[in-house]
Amino acid sequence: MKLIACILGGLLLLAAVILAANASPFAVAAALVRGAFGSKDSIANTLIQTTPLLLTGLGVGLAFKGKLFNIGAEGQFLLGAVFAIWAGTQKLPTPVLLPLALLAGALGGALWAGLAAALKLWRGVQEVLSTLLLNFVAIQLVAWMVRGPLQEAVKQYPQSDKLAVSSRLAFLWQGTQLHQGFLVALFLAVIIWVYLSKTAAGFALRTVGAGAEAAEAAGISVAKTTWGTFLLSGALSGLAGAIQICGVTYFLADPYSKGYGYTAIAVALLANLSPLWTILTALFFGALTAGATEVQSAGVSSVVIQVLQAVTLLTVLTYGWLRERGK
Amino acid sequence: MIPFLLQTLTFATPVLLAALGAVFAERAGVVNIGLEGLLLVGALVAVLVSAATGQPYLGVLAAVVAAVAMAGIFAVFAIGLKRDQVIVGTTINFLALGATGVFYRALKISGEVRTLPVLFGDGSTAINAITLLGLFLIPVGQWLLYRTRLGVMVRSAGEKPEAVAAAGVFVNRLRTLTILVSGALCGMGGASLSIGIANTFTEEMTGGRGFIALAVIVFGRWNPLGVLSAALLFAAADVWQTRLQAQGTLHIPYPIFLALPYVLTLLALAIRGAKVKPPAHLGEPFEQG
Repeated sequence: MKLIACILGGLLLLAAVILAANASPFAVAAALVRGAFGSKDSIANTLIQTTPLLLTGLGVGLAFKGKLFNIGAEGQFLLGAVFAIWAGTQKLPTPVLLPLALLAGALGGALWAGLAAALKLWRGVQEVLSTLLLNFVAIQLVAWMVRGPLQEAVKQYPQSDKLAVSSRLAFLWQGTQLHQGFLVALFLAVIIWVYLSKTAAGFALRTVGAGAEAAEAAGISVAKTTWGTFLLSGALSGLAGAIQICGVTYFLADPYSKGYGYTAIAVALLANLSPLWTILTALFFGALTAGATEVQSAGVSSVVIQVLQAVTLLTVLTYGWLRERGK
Repeated sequence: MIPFLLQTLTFATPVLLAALGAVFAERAGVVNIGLEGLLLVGALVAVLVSAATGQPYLGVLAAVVAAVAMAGIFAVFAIGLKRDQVIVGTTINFLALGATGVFYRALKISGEVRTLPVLFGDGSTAINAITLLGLFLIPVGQWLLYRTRLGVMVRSAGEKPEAVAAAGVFVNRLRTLTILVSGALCGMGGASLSIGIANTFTEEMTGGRGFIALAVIVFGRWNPLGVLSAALLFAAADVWQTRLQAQGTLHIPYPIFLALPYVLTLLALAIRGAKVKPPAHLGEPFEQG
């Protein structure tokens, strides 16, 4: 009942914003649905958009579960893309290139998150701040890479060379662009669920999240858990960037991300930080992202999706409050 | 040297105002990472109203009102509903980014955007009223925070909220007040960006200044004078890189220049970080007994 009231409130707020921007909420909703599910291609596109959102959402959710505010999934995603395109275009035997690119991407993301972990543990810098600032550095790093070290061989456009066909992720659904990365993301959602709920490391993470002092008293190393959580969280976002390179774009360009790493925060919070629910919330935001391509036709800019994200978060926050109060 | 300093003052203004307001909020125990969004709202509203009325100062006033309203949303969720401040702040950023984008594209700016009158100097050294006001507010803020009863209450609300509550102060009302003041200053800061430094609004034009303001607070050790020196330091680096870039004498790729402010901020935090302590109860909700 409370949930329904919250959702209705959120929808009304959203409708008010759209009306204020001189567009019809119903036309916008219809365009969203058409863009997300209207055809075989649009359904495939929804799943393609779901993939990076699921992986970054898992990464953010994992960190938040440990009360580590990693707001840097966007930067970690970009580093993953940079590392993946670099590794994937090396002169090496073909069969190793794809796994190498994916691994390198995960490593790149972990490295970027590791910087924030080091700043937090060694220098006492709040991760909220460092991860946000690292996002801006990562954006410029991509801009430099595609104009410098990783620019295409013909040096014409600010973009990298393309991955060879043999190092790309195979297609999953005949006649569409949907790639195997989607399955990888689903698989990892289950793995992360097992990690969180069934392993000692996952238990340590949850305990640290519930209170660092209590965790320390219970003999859990907060520093070790913080390191592990940051690295794993970054690796997931980095892998998302790598999969985007190997499965969707095949090359690096500037700007590269559509803000997946920021949407990931809404994805993770809407799922209440649960890995399995993250599959559904990533699908929800994936559908919105895919649907946004059609929204323009209803007379409102596609950035309305960001308003939608904000309204979703406000709804989640209000619902959380109502539930606590009801106890 | 003088032109360099004047330009530094102008560049520092948005960050300075955002940071000054947030010093009070953080001292009272509230961390708001939505400063970026508040600046952005101020920047758009100032341009829209200035273009519609031809009155730049009316634009500033409207920017202040809009940013205070946005800060009010933060206060409702962070203080009223006691939700996590980092998450509420993130939400404010989403909301500001989306709403400014939607309205900017829906309400095509018609008419000339009148920028803030230049009080003295010209071109890159022009100084406007908001910059002067910002400089004036720094000593006022320092005085308020350290020499008045209100300042004592604000500082205690972040350090020992139970103690001030026991003395009969409504901690959450005080915190809400600091959030709204911070919103007003962000509105001004946003206006100084869009109708001061620039003469138009572009999406995401704040470019992380709200986040740099948060770092400036740490670097300035949570006091207004410290914030002034930190904001000027960052702005000087910014002006310096802009000038080097314009001269074209240094052959460093452009993106590396653009990354410089963020890298410097991170370095500054890393150097300063371990030595400074934030207010003891920063970010924690308070239950008045």
